[in-house]
Amino acid sequence: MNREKYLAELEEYLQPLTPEERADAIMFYSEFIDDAGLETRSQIEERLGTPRQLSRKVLADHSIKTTDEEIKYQRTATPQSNVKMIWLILLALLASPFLLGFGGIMIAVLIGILALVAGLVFGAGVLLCAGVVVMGLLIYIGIAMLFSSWAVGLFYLGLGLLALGGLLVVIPLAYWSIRLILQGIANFSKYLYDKLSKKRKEKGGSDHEEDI
Amino acid sequence: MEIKVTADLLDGLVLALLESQDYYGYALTQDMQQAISISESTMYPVLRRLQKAEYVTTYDAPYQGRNRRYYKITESGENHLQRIKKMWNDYKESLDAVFAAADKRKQNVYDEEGQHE
Repeated sequence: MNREKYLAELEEYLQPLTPEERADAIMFYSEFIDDAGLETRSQIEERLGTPRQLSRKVLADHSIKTTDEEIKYQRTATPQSNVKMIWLILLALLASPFLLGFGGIMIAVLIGILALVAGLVFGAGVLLCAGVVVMGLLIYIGIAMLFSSWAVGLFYLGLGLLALGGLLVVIPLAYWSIRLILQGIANFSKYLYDKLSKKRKEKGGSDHEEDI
Repeated sequence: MEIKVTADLLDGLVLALLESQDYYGYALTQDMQQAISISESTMYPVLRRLQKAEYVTTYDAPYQGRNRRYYKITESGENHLQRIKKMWNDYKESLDAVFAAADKRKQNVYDEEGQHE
């Protein structure tokens, strides 16, 4: 009964995985629990950690591994997978016992950078929306005035088309710079994860020396 | 202090164990723990990675009314193991050479000092 409850909780925490991968992981650990002859919940948690800790380990490793593979196969990581990875690493870091000292500071820095980027992205989005509205308005006015006073109409139409051109240049630029920034943060958080894992190993806590 | 085992070496150890026999998850974890300190929760991500890279395959066998998943090394896994072993040997030899050279220099300095006295 304890075993079922533990596995059910683990499954809950493994939601980000595909159903197939989730089933695979659950099968592995349920077999493990049987073979190790673990009966009570505390016995299981002593060996594998709480469902939450175990899931974060599986998820963080999973995500980092897929990104490694993507790099290996010369594919660039998609922004979506980067965001997912940053998020998972953040969760894994928060679950670790290193909330104080260097680790804590780095996590705070990471959260700060994330907040800054989120703010910048939001600001850029608002600016772009405003640009689109102004452009539409200019073109609309231009066409409307073309028949009453053609010179003024042409002037506004020209301004509108200029704005359209500007937007067409800025939008891809903004898209690529956001991608680049995300990649940078992803690399940074990965570096952080590796570094903190190493540190944990050096400190030699008996449960935590495993991170590779 | 313990030297940190890299992911490649970890892969190599798992593949080496699997080269001698097929393993199910728990037994493999136990044997790995004999060699290096690795937590029991780490083996799954490692095996999954090796499986994705097609260095190992799995098959299921019934055991006491339930299922046991066995891991088996593939041919490309055996090749990969040879590569890792070679990498490890090269690495080990180059470090040993540096250590030996340093020891020898120290010995020479010591001998010279001895002669002066």
